[in-house]
Order: sequence, then C-alpha cells, then structure tokens
Amino acid sequence: MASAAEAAPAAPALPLRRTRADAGLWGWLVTTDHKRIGILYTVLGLLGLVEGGVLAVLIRLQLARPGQHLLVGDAYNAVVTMHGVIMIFFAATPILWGMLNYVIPLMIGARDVAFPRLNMFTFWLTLAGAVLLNLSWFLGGAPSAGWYAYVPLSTAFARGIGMDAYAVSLLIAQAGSAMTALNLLVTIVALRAPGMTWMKVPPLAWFTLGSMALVITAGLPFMVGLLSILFARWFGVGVYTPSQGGDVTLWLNLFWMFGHPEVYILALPAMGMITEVLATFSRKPVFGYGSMVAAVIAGVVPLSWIVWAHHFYVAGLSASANVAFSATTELISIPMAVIPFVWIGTLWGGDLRFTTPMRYAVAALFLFLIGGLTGLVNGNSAEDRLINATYWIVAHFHVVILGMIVPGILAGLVYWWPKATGRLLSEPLGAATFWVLAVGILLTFVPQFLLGLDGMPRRIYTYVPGLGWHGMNFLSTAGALIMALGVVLYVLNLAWSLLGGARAPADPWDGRSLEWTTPSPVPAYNFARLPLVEAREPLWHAKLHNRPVPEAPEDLDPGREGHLIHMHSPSAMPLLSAVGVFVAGYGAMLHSLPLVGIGGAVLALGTLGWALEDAWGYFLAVGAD
Amino acid sequence: MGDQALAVRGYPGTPARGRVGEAYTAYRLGMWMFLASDCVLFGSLVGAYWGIHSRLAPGAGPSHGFPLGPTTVATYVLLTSSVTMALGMVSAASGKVGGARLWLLLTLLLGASFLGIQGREYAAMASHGLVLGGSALAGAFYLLTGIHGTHVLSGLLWLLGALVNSGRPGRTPETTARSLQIAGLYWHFVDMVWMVIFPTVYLMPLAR
Repeated sequence: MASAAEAAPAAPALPLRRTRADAGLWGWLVTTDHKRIGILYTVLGLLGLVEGGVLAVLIRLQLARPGQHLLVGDAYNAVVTMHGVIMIFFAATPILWGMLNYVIPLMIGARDVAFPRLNMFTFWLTLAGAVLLNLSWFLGGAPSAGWYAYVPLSTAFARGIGMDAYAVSLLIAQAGSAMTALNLLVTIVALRAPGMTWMKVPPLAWFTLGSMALVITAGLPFMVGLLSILFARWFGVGVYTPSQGGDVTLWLNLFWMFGHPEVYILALPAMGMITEVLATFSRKPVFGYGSMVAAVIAGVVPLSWIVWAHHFYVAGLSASANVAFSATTELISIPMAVIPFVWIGTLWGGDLRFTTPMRYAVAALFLFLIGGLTGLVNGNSAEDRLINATYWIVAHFHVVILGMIVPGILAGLVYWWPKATGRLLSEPLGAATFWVLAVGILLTFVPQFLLGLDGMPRRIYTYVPGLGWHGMNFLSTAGALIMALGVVLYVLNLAWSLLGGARAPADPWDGRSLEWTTPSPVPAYNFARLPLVEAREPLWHAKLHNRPVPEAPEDLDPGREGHLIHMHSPSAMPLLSAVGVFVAGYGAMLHSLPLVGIGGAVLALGTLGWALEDAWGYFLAVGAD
Repeated sequence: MGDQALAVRGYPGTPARGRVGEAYTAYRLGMWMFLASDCVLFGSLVGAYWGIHSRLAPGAGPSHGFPLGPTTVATYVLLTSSVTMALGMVSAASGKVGGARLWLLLTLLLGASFLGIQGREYAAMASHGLVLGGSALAGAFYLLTGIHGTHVLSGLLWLLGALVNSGRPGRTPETTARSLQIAGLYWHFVDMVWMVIFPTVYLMPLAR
C-alpha cells in the first residue's frame, strides 16, 4: 500500500475539512477506498455465510430422522427464516458486492468507483441491517414467517419483534444495495479507461451492469412492500388486510417482483466471475462475447422483470395469467442457456489448467444444468401444481444457488484472493476442498429432489416414521455435514494463506484483464498511469505482442497531473449518517417515534456534513518525474 | 510497474480541469439512474393504490373523502414551482447567479406552500375519519401521497442547501449552474410524479 505522508492543506479552508486518516481502525472506519470497502463487505458476507450455514446444519439435524426434538414449532420456523434471510441478504449479497467493489474498478481501469463516500455509506447500511436483524434473537425472537414473509403470517399472526426486525433491516439493506448498484452502474458507464469502448468491456462488467440494472428497478417494489408490512404492524395500515378492504396478494406481487429478479441479481455477477475464470484457465478469449452480452442485457434482464408470478401459480391466478407467466418463465431459459454454451465454446480446444477456481467454474457448468433443467419443470404452471410446496422446490432453488452462485463466488474468491491480499492459497488444499464441497452439495440436494417427488412438503419441522422419507433425509443431512466440512476447509485455506501463504506476483494466473497489471496487493491509487485499452482483453493482447499494456496520455487521464495522482479523502460522514439510520431503524423496530426522530436528526446532521465538507481530496506523488 | 508513493501534496484549492467534468458527468448520470429507480417506486405505489381502489364496490369511492378544490390549487402551485426552477436553471446557465438565487427562493416558497396545503388536507381528512390505520384505501393513499410529500420535502432541503452553497467562497457561476442542473432534474421529476398521482387519486374516481 502507498505510504501516506503528512498532508498540508494550503487551500482556502472550507467549513469542514475531511479527515486524512488512513491507518489503524479509524482509517478503516472512514475509508473511501473501493478496495478496503470491498474487503469489509466480503468479510461481513463470510460471517453471514458462517451464521447461515450453522442454521442450515441445525435444520438438517432436526430433519435427519423422524420425530426429532431439536427445533420444534416456532423455533424451527425462526431458524429456517433466518437461514434464508441471512444467506440471501447478508451472505451472498455482501460477498458479491464486496468482490465487485474490489474488482470492477480495477478491471475497467479506474482509480475508484464514481461515488466513494456513497460506497462507504452503503457498506454501513448493510452492516446496520445485519446487526438489527440479529438483535431480534435477543429482543424477543427472530422473525419466523419465512424469508418470503407471507401476510398475514408476517402481520397479524407474528407476535414479538421478529417481523419488525425483518422489515426494518431489509429496508435498510435494500436501500444500501440500491445505492451500491447505482454507484457501480455509473462507474462502469462513466469511468472506463480510455479506449475501452462498449465491446471491449470485460464480461464481468457486463454481467454486473445487468445485475445492477435489476437492483435499482426490482428492489423498489420490495421496499414498498416492506414499508407496508412495518406500517401494518405499527400503525394498522390495512393494505394487506381483507377486513379493511386490503389485498393479501398485493404482498405476493410486491415481494416476488423483487424476489425473482433477485435470483438473477445474485446469479449474473457469479456467472460473470465464472466466465472470467474459464477464459483465463482455457487460455482463450471468451467465445461468443457478442451473444453473451445480448443474452444478458437484452434477454435475461428484461425477461426477469416479467416472470414473478410463477412463484404463486397456486394462489388463484386466472388460467390465462398462469399460461402467460409459464410462457415468460420458459422463455427466459433461452438467454440463460446461451451462457453455458458460451462457457463450453470457451473451454473447447482450450489449453485447460485445472486450478482451484477452474474446478469450481467447470463444476458450475454441470450443476447449473441440474438447477436449470429442474426449473423448466416447476416453471410450468401445470407441473407446478403437483410439486408446489414440496422438497422439489427446496432442492431446485438450492441447486441453482449452490450450483451457480456459490461456485461463482468460491471461484472468484480464490481467483482474486492473491490480488487483494498479496498471498497465494494452497492449491492441494483447494482441490481437496472442492471435492468435499461438490460431494456435499450433490448428496444434500439430489435426495431432496426425490423427497419432493415422493410428496414430502417443505416448511415442516418433523415427519412421522413409516412414510419412507427417513433414508433420503438422512443422506441429505450427511451431505449438509460434508458441505459444512468443506466450508471449514475453505476458510482454513484462507487463514493459512493470510498467515503464511507464499507472496503472490502481480499476475499469478497468467491473466487477461487489467487488474493483473497492478501490483499485488493493489496500491491505493490502483494505476500510476491509466492504461490505454486497445483490445477486449488488454493484458492478453499486450502479452501476444510481447510488450506492456500502453499508458494513456495525460490529457485522457483526468485524475493525473504529471506524477501526481488525485485521491479521494476519507470521510467520517458516511459513518455518522449510518449511525443515524441505525438508531432510526432500532426505533422503528421498537415502534418508538422519538428514537426514529433522534436517528433522523443524526442522519440529517451527517448528510449536512457530507454536503459541506471539502470534496476534492488530495494528490499523491507516484513515481519520479 | 514498481512505482512508489513518494509524498502527499496538500489540497490544491481549485479543482483541476478534467476532474470537474468527470464528476459532473457521474453526478448527472447517477441522478438519472436514481430517477429510473424512483419511477419503479412510484409505479409500485400507484399500482398498489389502484389495485385496492379497484376492489371497492361501485359507488363506494372516496370522491367525498378526497376534496378536489384545495388539491387542485396545490397542483398548480407545484407546477408553477417547476417553471420557476427552470427559470433559475436558465439564469444560472447564463451566469446570473443573483437571478438564479431569486428564482430558487421562489421555488422554495412554492414547494413549501404545496406541502402546507397537503398538510391541511391531511388534517381535514383525518377529522373525517380517513386515518393511516383506517381503511386499506386510506392506508394506500397516505403511503402514496406521503412518500411523494417526503420527496418534495427532501427536494426543498436540497434546494435550500444549493441556495446556501451558491454563496460560499470557492463557488463559481459554473459550479452553481451544474449543481442546479442536477437538483432541477430531481425537482422536475417529483413534479411530474404528481402529474400521475393527481389524476389517479383525485380525477379518476370522478370518471367512474
């Protein structure tokens, strides 16, 4: 990392001078560096993954044999709900946001994201959401109406603070997500390195663009729905209550208008990571780049807006609505299927190297086939009537997540780990971990497909003996324990690497894109000289021509003056603003208007400071003239 | 590359040429993206309102509950504030910061009047029993118009900040014009949203 010397502000003093701290704990709390924020997000997500994983193991232990008493009734419901909410919103989302935060600016040749302070604010919002949700364990019970929080289970029938915590924490986390999405969208559109025209944008950036476009659109109906749940519980707002003239299906629509695109929000970045990994370890350009871009931007994104009702075919939709949503659901499998073909074409005839990231990427190709093909079955409204609310559905969406999103994350983490930490991971341990996880995933969920076809309903905390379900349930639990072992091995590998892993060179994988032109770990300024992008895979192109990636001339590099690089100052205002949001959120959870007022005042103070503090940062001298 | 960070120089006073342009592009683009997102927010709210309204039995509409008169006045007030905002943006763009500040002040007054009329209407409706926790339609009405009102309030605070900022040292007519361009995008959008809410909530029931 660049060493920061004393800053001597020489300019006319503006009312608020930003802090210059970048060392120690305070340096991390006020940072605006996308790389540090990316690491914070990823660590938060890994903690969420551990919590969600422990809850999953508890669920499987309860179901391992008929008639167990480990988690009964509402305790089971709470654990299932928290497992789902944490895994989606506080594990997968922060890990992906963290990795994208770290990698995207480097890949597109930028020195930071477009709005560095907003970036830090969104991390604090995600953390505030995670803390508020988990506080409910200690304040009278976690939410227990499922991650889908169907009304009236989540309104009239949910006692205690759980569903208030759910609504408040997800409102805050979703607001954070929407701002992250806006930030990454603007970054990709406005801050690409000189020469990086649209058809030279790295695949991951395209997938991110699609995913973030979904976040800023599909997230909003969910927020309206959450606010209505909170207000229904707090003020008796009746939009969901039939006795007041309301409509319970309103929540179904608002929730799944977000809930379905959320699958693509998480899957698209993971697929982008897999695409990058496959190209690097096949030593070939991405096959069918144009069709891939078209499939994502013109296919998956718009179609994912119009499939939501397939989550509630049985809620009494008209036959014509069921037919229409079946048709759009089957239709989206076409652009989704283009991407595995892009991967196969990239592998075809490649000089394959089976490193740890490559193993996960290739596994995703196979596992996604299971998830995708089973989705064709329950996407059809006629077939869905037979398997709705059985373990088939549980198995289907878990295989999509664990067969696509999780391998994408695991591959990407291993792939970019040396860039972020400057250390290499153990390849033999990585390979062993891969096989443990692959066996665990299949052993957990293949039996669940069979249980579903055999009629075992989901959302039950136990079952009686003699139904023929105990064998498959036992296998599934064994698989979950094997998966847990895999996660432990994976984390051990990370810890071992941090403590004693070999030093990573700048380009440990023989990479193709711009992030591998920076030192490992990446200095605060990312690029001493912005690269001039000549080809879709700039580093690979330069390697083929046996020369370094060319530097952009100074007039194309707005952040540079001679050897001085413009840096964004750290800022304490995002932290202050987020403290306000946290207090207000805590107040809303407790239905306390005074606390909401205090939090709102702190937020207003933080926003005011944000608007008034100096905005232009400082200069870092990099290299000699 | 092997470059080493050697020293940190102080804050340079006036921002360098390229960065202002880059930041402006990013802020303007960010605002458009935010507005796209806000479209979906209000789309969901209007959809929820309309869905609940359409479940009412014929004749059981709220035409007597949502008085048209004062809100029509408020609608014209809000529309006029868009005109004054636009004139302020034009003044700032042609370098007349004093004129722009005057138009901005007028916009603030008009926006505050809109909120004042809406507040009075809320009080009148509540006295008729149309409260937040009452019927589903009342809940949907307060959610929709309340979130719009919150947008107007945020816009007022923003314009107030822009008014204060335009007088601070280090600001040029150019920076004022640019910040008003972005604030103006938001303000016009919030007014346009009202142009959807007003017919949906107040006029459509008359056509039934």
